[in-house]
Amino acid sequence: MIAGFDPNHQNADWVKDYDGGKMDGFCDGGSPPCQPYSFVRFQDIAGYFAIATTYGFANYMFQTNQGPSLEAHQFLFTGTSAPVAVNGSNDYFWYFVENNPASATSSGCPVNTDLSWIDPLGHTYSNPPLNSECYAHDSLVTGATYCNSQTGICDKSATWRYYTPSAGSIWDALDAIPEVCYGINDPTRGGNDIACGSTNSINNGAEWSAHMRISETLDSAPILTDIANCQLQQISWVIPDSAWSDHPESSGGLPLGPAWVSEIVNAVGQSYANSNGACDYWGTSGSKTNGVVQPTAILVAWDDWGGFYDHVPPFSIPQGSGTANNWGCNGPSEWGCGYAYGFRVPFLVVSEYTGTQSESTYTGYISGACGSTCSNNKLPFQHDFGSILAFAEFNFGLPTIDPSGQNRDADYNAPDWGPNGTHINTPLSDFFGLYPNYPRPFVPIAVDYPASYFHNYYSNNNASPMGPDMD
Amino acid sequence: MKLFHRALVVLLPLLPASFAAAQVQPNMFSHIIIVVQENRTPDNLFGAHAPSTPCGTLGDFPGADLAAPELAMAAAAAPATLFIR
Repeated sequence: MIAGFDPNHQNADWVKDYDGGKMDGFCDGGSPPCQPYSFVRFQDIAGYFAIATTYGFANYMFQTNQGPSLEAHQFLFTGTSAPVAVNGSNDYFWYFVENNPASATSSGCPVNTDLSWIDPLGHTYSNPPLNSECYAHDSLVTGATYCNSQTGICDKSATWRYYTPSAGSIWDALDAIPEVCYGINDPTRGGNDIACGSTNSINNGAEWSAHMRISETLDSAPILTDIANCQLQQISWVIPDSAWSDHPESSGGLPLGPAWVSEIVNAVGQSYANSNGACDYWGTSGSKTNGVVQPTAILVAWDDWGGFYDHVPPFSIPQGSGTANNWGCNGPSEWGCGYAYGFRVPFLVVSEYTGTQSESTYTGYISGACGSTCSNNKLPFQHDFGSILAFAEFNFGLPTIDPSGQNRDADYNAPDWGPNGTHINTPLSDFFGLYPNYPRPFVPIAVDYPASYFHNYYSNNNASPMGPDMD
Repeated sequence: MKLFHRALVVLLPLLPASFAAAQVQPNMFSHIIIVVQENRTPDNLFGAHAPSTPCGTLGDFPGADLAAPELAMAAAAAPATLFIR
């Protein structure tokens, strides 16, 4: 996707852009000025537009954090970017890691002072009072209390994979959790340059190795391979190669991101035919009685705002009060104070139950659609990254991350649960209004790049798997 | 569970009139794929499809809450240089 500039988007840039709610601080002094007010050419997002108008589009998906990629990926996997574990002798578990490290790579569960923090008042600490810890905490799919000391596996009940172009990058959220990185809750290993999944880990890093799918030169698109081979896990995170990530200055001028996402959609929707009837990941083609039908929801989110302009102010900017050990942000309505919520990010949903139906015609569904005014920026149409976690927990019956709800370091909020933690709504459920009676047939998305283009991208372009830059 | 039901009874009358919980069920999906792309906002990514007036229903993406960024830039009296990328 063409963008010859990369707007600044650390937390300080977020504060500048937000400008106390006026949403007019996006000019960043680049040359030429005010590039963050640009927009993508319509011909470059044809795939995204087709998905949005055919299936589901969110008017009000908000990035959870007010910062860049490292924390955004943490929130999408664990629901937090808290820098340390709960500790009775200090209150730093109330803080969040604020920005990215100086280096985009790490060698194992990170323990360092290279990560700035932000407190519940929104004060930042470029030199935090403690090292960030490699500490045990739940993710959507793992938890220290689930660890099997013999196998080194710490999974909850869902099968999962994390597809990523390279190991040890800021996009690899699972590296920050010792029981996932090392297969055991042993924080002392963190920061000792013991790479996640290394032979120094329990069972050679069985947990990490079992779930990471790192792109290889011979196959640039292992998620497409797994779908084609009917090997899809219950939950998959798909982190893109830089070339098709939509990240500015990383796409070589080609609009590969929309084609990449469209190929995933098409692989799922056409899985029954492509597998000769072995699996139906869409849900309307195979027999309902032999296990072939396995309906799939595809949730497409963008990790952060990238410094680009958006006109909708975040719906909640809770700030704490008080001082150390007495922070006034305990209630669910004030969850994340000091660092939540961020700006809107695009969000697309694809499934057999997503869309609107009139007689035999299906069209796209817009969550929080505008009428004569845009008045639906409210329950149940306000979503954040916690909504993704909450819906997955609901669908698979997974225990909620920190079910006690007492410790903010390992808790998260989903605004579409309802006000003040009431859980009167299932997050993201408004996208599935066709359930259960009106499953729709699959409509393929037209793409300019075939799946083979992505499978063979590295070999055909003399390229190597490429992760993120520093932001 | 009782507490949950009590809360529901108390809060339902306070919900927006347009709110209607969708009838979803556990295990309605066998798989969930979370695709994470990078660094965009709705206005930046879909701004080319924004209506000519904020929140307008004209254009080819009716119902989407989009604002053409260059209009916002003009409103903010930012330097009048347009970018279409």
